[in-house]
Amino acid sequence: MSSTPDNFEPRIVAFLCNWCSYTGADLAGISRMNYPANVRAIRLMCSGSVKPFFIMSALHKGADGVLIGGCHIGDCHYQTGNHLTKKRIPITRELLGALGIDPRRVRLEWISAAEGQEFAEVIHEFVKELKALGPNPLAGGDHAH
Amino acid sequence: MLTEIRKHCADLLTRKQVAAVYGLRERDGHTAPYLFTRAEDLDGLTVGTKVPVTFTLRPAKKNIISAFQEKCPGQKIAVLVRGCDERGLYEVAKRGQIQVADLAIIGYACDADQARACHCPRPHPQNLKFGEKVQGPSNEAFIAKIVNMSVAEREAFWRAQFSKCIKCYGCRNSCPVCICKECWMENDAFSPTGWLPPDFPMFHFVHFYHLSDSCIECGACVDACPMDIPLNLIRKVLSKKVQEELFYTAGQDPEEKPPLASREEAKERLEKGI
Amino acid sequence: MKTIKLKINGIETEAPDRTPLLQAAERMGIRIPTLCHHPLLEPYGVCRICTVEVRIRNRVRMVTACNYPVTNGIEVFTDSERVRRNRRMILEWMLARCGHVPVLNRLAEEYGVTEPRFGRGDDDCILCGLCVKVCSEVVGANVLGFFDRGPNRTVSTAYDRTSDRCITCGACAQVCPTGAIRIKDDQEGIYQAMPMGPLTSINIDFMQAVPRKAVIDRDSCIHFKTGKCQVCVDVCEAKAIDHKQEDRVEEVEVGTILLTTGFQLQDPRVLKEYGYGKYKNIMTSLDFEVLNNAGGPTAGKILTADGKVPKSIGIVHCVGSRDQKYHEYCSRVCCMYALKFAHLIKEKIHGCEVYNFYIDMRCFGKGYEEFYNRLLREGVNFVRGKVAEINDAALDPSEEGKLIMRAEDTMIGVVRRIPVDMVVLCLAMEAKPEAKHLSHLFSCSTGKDGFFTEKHPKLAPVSTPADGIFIAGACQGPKDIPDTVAQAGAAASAALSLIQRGEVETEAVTATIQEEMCSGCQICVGVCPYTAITYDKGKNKSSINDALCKGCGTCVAACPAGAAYQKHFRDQQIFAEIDGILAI
Repeated sequence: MSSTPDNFEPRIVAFLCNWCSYTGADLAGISRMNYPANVRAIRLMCSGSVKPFFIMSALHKGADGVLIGGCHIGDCHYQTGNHLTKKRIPITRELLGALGIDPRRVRLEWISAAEGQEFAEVIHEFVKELKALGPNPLAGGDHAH
Repeated sequence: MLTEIRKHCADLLTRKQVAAVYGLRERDGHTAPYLFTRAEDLDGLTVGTKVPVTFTLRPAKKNIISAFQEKCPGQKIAVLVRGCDERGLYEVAKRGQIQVADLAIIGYACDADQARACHCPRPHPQNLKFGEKVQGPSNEAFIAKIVNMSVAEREAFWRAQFSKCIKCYGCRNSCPVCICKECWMENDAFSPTGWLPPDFPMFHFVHFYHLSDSCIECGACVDACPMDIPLNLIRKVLSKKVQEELFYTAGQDPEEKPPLASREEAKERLEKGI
Repeated sequence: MKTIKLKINGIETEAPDRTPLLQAAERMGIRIPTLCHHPLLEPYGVCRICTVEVRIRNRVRMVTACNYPVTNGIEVFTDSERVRRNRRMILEWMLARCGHVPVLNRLAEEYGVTEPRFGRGDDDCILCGLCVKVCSEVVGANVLGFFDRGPNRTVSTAYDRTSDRCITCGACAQVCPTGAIRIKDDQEGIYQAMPMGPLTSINIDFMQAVPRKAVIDRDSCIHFKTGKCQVCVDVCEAKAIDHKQEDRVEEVEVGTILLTTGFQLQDPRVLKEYGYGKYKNIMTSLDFEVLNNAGGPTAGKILTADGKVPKSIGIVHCVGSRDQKYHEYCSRVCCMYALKFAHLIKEKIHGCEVYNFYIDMRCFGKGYEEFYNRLLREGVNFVRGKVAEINDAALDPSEEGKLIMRAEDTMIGVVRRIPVDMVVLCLAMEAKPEAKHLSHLFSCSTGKDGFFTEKHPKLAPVSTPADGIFIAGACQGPKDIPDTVAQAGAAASAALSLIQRGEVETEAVTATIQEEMCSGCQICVGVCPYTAITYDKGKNKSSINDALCKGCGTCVAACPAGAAYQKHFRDQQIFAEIDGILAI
């Protein structure tokens, strides 16, 4: 987007499951891996407990991107929690797309507790993508001012 | 068709195959749902393709069918349905509101004009007894309008549409498959109740998402909307996505569990036939 | 059984009534020569060499001691002149058939037969029939039998052909008193096929095995092949052998579980360039460990497949480890055991050249660097470079029959070819393929290399995300014995502390359904992985069992009405978090 200011730093809200992705993010930290500071993590017990309303709310409140991180399919600490995530998120993205909110702002990634490197890579990629997309037009909402 | 239906229902009642027939009664020029228990009353029975589907199903918590089933458990009643009524019955039954096994579903088909008016993809029930099956209009052509827009165009389009919203809750109240006691559309933390027009797209997002795997495409919400917001555009986009991604069509198979209400993966469900 | 009295060679003794005379004599330490007697088989007195003189009252009889039952009052002479004369005669007859069998010649010498009157025959078999009897009575294979009659009588298989029914148990060769039957090792590559297999059908897995009990190897046990034998049952004094035992599944209720499922060595065949399985004398580190073991097939001698002492041995480090194609990680133990191998080879084979091909020497433990320095002094060759290929393509006669190792020596910048007699591949330790399945069973996770992941690499190294399940040893990652022992101790004490407490805390983050908001749609029931939610038809409400709920919150996200909430993760809390982190 041409209107994107050069110094635009996207803000990412990451909903990470306690067992895999949050631990994976932790591992990235412990391992001193560099990744952009644009991500702000919210720990949940399972990616299956992420309500699409949380994603919507984060976008509405000004997040430029939302990352949902869960265990790989078959590795869920709660056996099948992430099966629901796998079903809900594509529907949510489709709905956002139909409403005119770029679905690329919502990203679902399976990141295991051992994948600190992958977590860092996902953040790198996502930040790059969001920089190209520009600021979230929803940010702040109509009633914020 | 009407005389045949009356005759069939009278038959069911006199032979005591059902305890009651649930259908529509016309009196003094008004049509309203009615529970026929005597064959002689059936002169008043009518079928209307224009009456709202909610006559059969709303209010979800205490509609006539569930009230009857609560009072007289195990007793059979016959229900006269169109395609949309039947789909609604199945979806509501899957969410524990009525016992579809205790119903004798008598279906009749809508004509092509009606199907076009409702943008109904399947204007006939599976338990079709009366009338001729017609092909409904294609959803693809209907949703092409927003599918072909760019993301930014869509945003502009919906901002304009939703800015008309007066928060009458008509879309929710008319919805035959909305069953919750408390509604997220009234959740202050998500979309504050006092704001008008509501923030884009929060208020409407709730209803769209919650019905993604239960919308029967009856069009009741569009009919109810006083501001003519084309809500069914998004509903049909989502229904298509649910069909493609989760292999589920709402209201089709009474045995099939809704995908967002089961723990199996979409593929697994397909293989196991859940 | 009744005990009777008898006299052997003038000495009074007692024996159970009707025991074979041979046994009674043996118990007194009197040796009677025999050829056709075997404790496992019914005695049948065919070789006659055990002939003794028995006096019953005034009657004297010559009998075979092996099958003569003793009775009260008999007097026995095992070495009288008459006995000796008889045995001499018998020996002469035997020598007439089998003149060159060592055991007969020894007996002949003992009894003073120097020039047998009937000459010396060229046969080996004295037709004692032990082999025939063992094959039918004990083994049950019924392969051997007597054929023809009179002077032409022989022991053989049917039609003198190799029998399909022979299970190559070797029992016939073992019982043969004259060595007429030999097992011929003419099967190509038997050394490669089963170099480290169990030596006997009944064996104790290894000396440190817990429990240290003997087990029967079903594949090689004769009983499981023919339904007979069971010699072990007769021999075992503890009566501990039961062939009817089967594997069975037992359910045990426990409070904590230690996962110590270990590792496996990488398959050496995958690395085609190293020619394992293609050339002889290329072995894995584990093969070498067995070969070098005092209880191993060569009794601890380091020998090539042809039984020769190797003059040079190459040891390849990092086979499959630190390799982008196979395992990125370092297997940690190879450097040190490779040094140990080099040291042992130097110790056992004087003057043997040992070449260690390494990427980096990782001697990280206490005393390890010192050991490396010691090996440098012992004259072990260290080549810094990865071996590119091992083959047997000799360029000149001196390389004939050797394995050629080609590697770049990065210290001197030269590609070297080093011919050796034996190669040891230090293969990567890798996770077992079943670890993935186990991780699902125990709801712990595996990393991308397949090893179990600990809860926290520094703060909870023996715990897993699943409460009460602990890990230790190489199933968590490659590690050496001291590290494994340390980790196992930590895991055991972590498990014990839970047992000691006797109770576990339930999840604090369980979900609850607010009854007045529940519309009874049962969506939550369908998504719960733990069947913790039940629907009450009478009330048309669902409720959550706190003890079964593990607190995943899947139902909370599924509940359309927001009737379900998760403690500490309520909507208001999440929204506040979103507000908070987006405020800056």
